[in-house]
Amino acid sequence: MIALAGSDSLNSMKAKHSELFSLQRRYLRRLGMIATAVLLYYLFFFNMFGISWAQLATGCSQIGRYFLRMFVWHDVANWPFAYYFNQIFITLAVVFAGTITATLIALPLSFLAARNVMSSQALRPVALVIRRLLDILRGIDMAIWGLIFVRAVGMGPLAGVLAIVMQDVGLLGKLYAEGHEAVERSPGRGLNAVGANSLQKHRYAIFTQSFPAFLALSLYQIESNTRSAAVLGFVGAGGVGLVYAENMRLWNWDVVMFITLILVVVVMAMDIVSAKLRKRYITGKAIPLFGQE
Amino acid sequence: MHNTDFERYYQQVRGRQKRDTLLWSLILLALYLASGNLAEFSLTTLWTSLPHFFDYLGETLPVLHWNRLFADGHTQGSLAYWGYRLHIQLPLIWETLNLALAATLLSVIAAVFLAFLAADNTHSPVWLRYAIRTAVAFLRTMPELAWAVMFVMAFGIGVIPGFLALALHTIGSLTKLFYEAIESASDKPGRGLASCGAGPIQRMRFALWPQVKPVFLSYSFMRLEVNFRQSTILGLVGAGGIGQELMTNIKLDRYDQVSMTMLLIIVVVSLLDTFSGHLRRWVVEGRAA
Repeated sequence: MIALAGSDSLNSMKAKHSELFSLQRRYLRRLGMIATAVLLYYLFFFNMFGISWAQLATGCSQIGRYFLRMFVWHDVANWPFAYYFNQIFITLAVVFAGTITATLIALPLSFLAARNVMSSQALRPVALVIRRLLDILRGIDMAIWGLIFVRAVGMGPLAGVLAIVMQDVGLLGKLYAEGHEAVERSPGRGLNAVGANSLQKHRYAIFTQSFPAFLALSLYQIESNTRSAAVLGFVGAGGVGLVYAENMRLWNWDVVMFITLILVVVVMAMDIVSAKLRKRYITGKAIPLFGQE
Repeated sequence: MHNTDFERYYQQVRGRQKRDTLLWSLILLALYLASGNLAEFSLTTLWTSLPHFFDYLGETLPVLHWNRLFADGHTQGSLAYWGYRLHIQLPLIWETLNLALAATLLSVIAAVFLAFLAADNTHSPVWLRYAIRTAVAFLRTMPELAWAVMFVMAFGIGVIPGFLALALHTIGSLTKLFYEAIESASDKPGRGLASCGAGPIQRMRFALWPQVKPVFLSYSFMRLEVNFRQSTILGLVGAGGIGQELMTNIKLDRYDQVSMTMLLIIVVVSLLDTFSGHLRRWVVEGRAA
């Protein structure tokens, strides 16, 4: 069927719709330009920060050896499994305690940061200040907060909990506030008309609507913190990162592999549980209508 | 008029909701208390330890005198005195930015190819699909600091280990987001192209790619922002960037330099957030040709 269009008619078609046919060429040229820019950037990057070939070769052979050791497990019977699982549970506990506390703190702050709650002239600056504060809390990574808290309150899971609280208050506060700002305005007006005070209005007009977003974000955050909380142990803030750091220094790459596999399973389980909860409570079960039972 | 039927129905629905709320509140509370117990987190420890934190924050505040604010670097209390390590810190910030950008670019390119191979609507072999999925799950679950420690042990202290660690971790998370985007794309354009005689590569290029390109771009920008933040911590294990400076300052109790470094990180991260937001809007929406 393609052969139907002979080379003559194809050429005349090309002549007729020249811009249509040049589109692909223009696209390829742009792609080429981007590729060249990326290539030049990498030349610059490796030129500036790169390492010598000899170093690279030894490094690669080292990495190969580490991976080899990852897949050959020695002396499994004598591993301190109780200790590993204890640390994993501590990580989970740190994540739960931190995220739930952050949720509790971020919820009131998010109302203070939402522009439609702080709508009067006098309250505007409050929203602005709270927003800046949340930006600062969010801008610093969890591990850095962990480092600071380890210095301030000592080593241990408490520093990890506080680090998660700090980062998540910033993140969740902002996201909740966006949820409050996206609500429909008419229920608020209706409540206003029947004489609700402002607290009642926020509770029943705004929070009822932003609750699904609140729940989804909190569940997602617990899940994502499970993944990232492992770094806390590296700075001494408790949890499974400590096991990583210890065993890497001791060249126990098989243990590193084992812990990672366990974490993959844990994260997958959290994924499934949180997806189930989201489906159950955000999509919700239909309430049977009156007279249809 | 009192409708008893309706009253009963209402009580039934309300009762079920109340029971649900009570049950979940109890479960959450129990979980919270248990995890707080395991994590040594309680109101009393908080009460005793929070003052230490605020003391520490107070100590990091620099000593600044109004009348000597713009004096040279040898006068105590001037801005220049506070920033006496800026000639070390600013190149480190530059290093951090390059590290994040280079790692993100590389991993976006790698993840695009891996995602097309791992998606289940591109006719790639089943064993390859599962191999890639398992590999990227492993890559993203191993914390980036663990990768960084490993590469620092192999390549020595420097930027390259950090670059590799960040790139591997990002490949892991981007590939998953990308193949999920490909799988949720509509298959109709592909079927249309197949009926005109397009091969699998052409179908991917002209049916799937135009659909997923905007999604890929916005995920990549999101990841770039995340990576700017992550690259500040790689230095904690010697993998390049500002983290090294921050850790030394904290460990050596150079209080005023802790606040200086934190300030630099906050300023740079928020500037980049704004910049990348604008760039994303420009690329994703402006030229979505």
